Amino acid sequence: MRADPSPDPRQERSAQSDEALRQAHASPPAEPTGSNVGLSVGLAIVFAAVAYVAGIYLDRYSGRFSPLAYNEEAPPIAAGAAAVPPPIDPVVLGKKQYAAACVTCHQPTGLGVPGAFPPLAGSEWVTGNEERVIRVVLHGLSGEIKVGDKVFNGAMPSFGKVPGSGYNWRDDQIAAVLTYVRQEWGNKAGPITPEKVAEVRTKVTRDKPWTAAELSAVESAP
Amino acid sequence: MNAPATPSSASSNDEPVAVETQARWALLLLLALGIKWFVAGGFLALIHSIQLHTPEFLARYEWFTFGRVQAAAESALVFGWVANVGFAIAWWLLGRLGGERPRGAVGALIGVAFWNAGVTVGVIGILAGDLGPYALLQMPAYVFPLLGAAYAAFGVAGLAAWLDRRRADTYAAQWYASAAIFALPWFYSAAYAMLSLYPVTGVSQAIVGAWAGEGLRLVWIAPLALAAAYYLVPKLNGQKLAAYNYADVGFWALIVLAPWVGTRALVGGPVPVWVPTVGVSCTLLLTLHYLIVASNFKAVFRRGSPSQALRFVLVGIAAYLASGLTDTALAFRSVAQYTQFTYLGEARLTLLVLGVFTPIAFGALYFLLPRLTGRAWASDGLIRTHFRATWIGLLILIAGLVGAGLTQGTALVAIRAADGQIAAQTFAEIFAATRPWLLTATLGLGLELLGGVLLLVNGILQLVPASDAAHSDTLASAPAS
Amino acid sequence: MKPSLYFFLGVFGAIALSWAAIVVGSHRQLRALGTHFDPLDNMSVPAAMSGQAAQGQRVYQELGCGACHTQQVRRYGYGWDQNRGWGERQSVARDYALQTHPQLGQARIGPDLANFGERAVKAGVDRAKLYRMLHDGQGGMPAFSFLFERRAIVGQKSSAALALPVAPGWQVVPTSRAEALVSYLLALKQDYALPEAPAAVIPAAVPATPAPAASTAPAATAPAKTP
Repeated sequence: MRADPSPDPRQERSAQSDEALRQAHASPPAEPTGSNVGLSVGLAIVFAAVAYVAGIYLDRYSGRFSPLAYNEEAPPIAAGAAAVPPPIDPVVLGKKQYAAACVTCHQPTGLGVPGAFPPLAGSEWVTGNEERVIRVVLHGLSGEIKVGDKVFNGAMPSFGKVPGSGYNWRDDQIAAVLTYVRQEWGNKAGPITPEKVAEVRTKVTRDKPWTAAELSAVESAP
Repeated sequence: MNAPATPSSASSNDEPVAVETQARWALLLLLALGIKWFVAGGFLALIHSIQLHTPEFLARYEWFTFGRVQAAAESALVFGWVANVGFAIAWWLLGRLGGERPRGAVGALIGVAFWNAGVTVGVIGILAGDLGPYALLQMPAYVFPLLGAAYAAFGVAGLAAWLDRRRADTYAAQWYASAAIFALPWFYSAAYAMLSLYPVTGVSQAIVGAWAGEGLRLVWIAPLALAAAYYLVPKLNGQKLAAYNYADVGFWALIVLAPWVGTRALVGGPVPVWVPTVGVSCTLLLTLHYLIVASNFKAVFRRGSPSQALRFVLVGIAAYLASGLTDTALAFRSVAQYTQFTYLGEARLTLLVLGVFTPIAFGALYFLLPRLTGRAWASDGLIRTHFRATWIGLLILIAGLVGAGLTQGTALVAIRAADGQIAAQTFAEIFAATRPWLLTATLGLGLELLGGVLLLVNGILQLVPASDAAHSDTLASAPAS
Repeated sequence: MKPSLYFFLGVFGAIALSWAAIVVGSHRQLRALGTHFDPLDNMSVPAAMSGQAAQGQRVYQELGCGACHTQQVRRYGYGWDQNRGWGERQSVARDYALQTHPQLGQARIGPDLANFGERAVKAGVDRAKLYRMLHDGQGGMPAFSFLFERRAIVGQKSSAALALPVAPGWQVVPTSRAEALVSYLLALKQDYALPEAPAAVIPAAVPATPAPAASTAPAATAPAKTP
């Protein structure tokens, strides 16, 4: 019927019945014919090549299936890198803390404001006894204080996790900011550890700021 | 009932079979609603296309703001046109090849009515602002229960047509049709559950969206088109498909690999690198499927054919192979970094919906509709014009979008030196550079849409009681010689 | 019928496998990550959005902004995102961990907005300028004038009123949706550090930031002419 001399172009003719179509496609080829073998081999070769490339690609760009790998060019991130964060440099943390709170009074230079806020640079209160300076930051300080040869009279708030503190800094934050001010602006005192801060905080119970006189007594403490 | 195997008689080949007589009204309703959605979705797509080069077009109206029109056009074309016509074709060919009376035709009729009500609510909902951000999943969540219930009513009829088949041996068209009918609810309900019912937070949403959206494209829309192609090509040219013994490998390659490729769209994005990498790798493996489809249909391209329907199908197959080729080429990271986020993304979906599915569906319509109505088409001149409008419009549309995409992709990384100053191209400059291409795309889409209108006119004329005798020819009464 | 059962198990299983591996697999990985606690800042990043900004995200989605704007910065060396000044590091999954409606976006017909809030501050774009840009449109972006309403001045003129020539006694003010949208846009910033997304090391020879007119300050330039 494909040879129908004058098919009506307005109707599509079936060229074969559904049954014939099914039968033609149902029977498997009796034996591999020439073109079929060529196609089999060709498909197998092409697919093997593609699978090889796909496999290489997967290996190269999978980031070892890590949820933290976002750059396929970067070296793989070690397992557990997220669980163990890199150690914090106390000076970096301290600088942040200083910039967040201390800088308003003691200034970026650490020189304070003459007549109002005492300097930290070159101050014996800062570089001296560890326990004393920890107490100042933990609980605050008020009243007259002599720094160098000048006398200041002000009030420093408490920063530690103690009653009445509006800051509630953790031990490591206080340790970091003290380490920072003890080593900045030419100061050359040793670092202060969070353990030392924790020790002072548990040992000393206090709910009001220190006075300079009280702190001077600490000097003699062991 | 099924025609006996007497290939010598044309009239016996063309006698209506059980599915055509007993499910006539359900099929006609599906096809009519599908064509309605093609025209409606096409006009929305045209508005979107115009807005691409003339952003102020209808911009005063919130309902026609750019993002909404794009989503509404996409949803109308996919869930109106593709879903209705695709299901009708799949159901029909399952019935024909299975040789059994269709079950659940009445249920299907009701289901179809509710499905289309759901899509209407969905499209209006999008225009009103209830749209999701992921391709093909933009319809608001509240239409899902309606769509789900409706699909249960008519999808079951499709699966019954597969399960009821009389024979154990099956044909490729049946595999693709039943897999497509099955895949739509799988992807859509998984996406609904994870995006709306128990929504995941963060980029997991984007992963769900990419997986389900691409799944719908490749495991629902593409198999619907392939089912029709595998059936119509031998039906219309009377030949056995070449290398048909590989067709099952090609089918399973698609079904097994295609669900994995969706996340390749997230390459370079804020997801762990393995997520897009798996997608890229599987895209490469998927070339096996395209190679086999190409081998099956290769010979058909060489032979000419008097059949208009077959020409439509061949345009669709050619577009399918082209889309496979470009998908593979665009998958690589080195290419994707330039083509990502450009109009090429839109070109890909357009190529599949308007380039692959639509011409094949047109071919199927030209074959099927006269068998349902018992009347020949009113004018073969209209069919010819429709065919020209379709393939020329498609070429222009895709060329426009690809040209715009490549221009945009290069401009996004290009720098210009003026007075020794180095500066990236501004978006106003990129807009100006892509504008001619986008105008071209609108022209192509207009032609494509015009073709759809011609089909509609031809269909309406077909139903008008004919005054002259030639027009009342039915297939059954056509002369056998 | 037996062959049908195998057939459907095959199709079902093929899709289910990809779903389990890609969707569920990545979701479990990402959910386990959670937010990142930054000991230096003593806070978790990213922070949750404010209520108004979260509302703005809904407006952003309702208007389909994602059709033209992405919100994801790709790494330096992959595309030109960072050369265009869209961000100083790659966007990663944790940036979106708390967002119920992340808007990664589909296309870049307009600039990326992942760090729009940060850019706007640098370019001196305030709420008033953003309102004006939304009202008038700019470049290829259409005007979203329906986000604003013309209202009679009762008592004092609204502080948010746009500087537009309107009849005396009237004003054009942003609706609550426009206010939410602008809050959202200004809240878009990925300016904190995450261990998995180190800041890019940009070679000196490459122009790091293009001229401000390009994309760093999309709103800084005068609003586009409205013919």
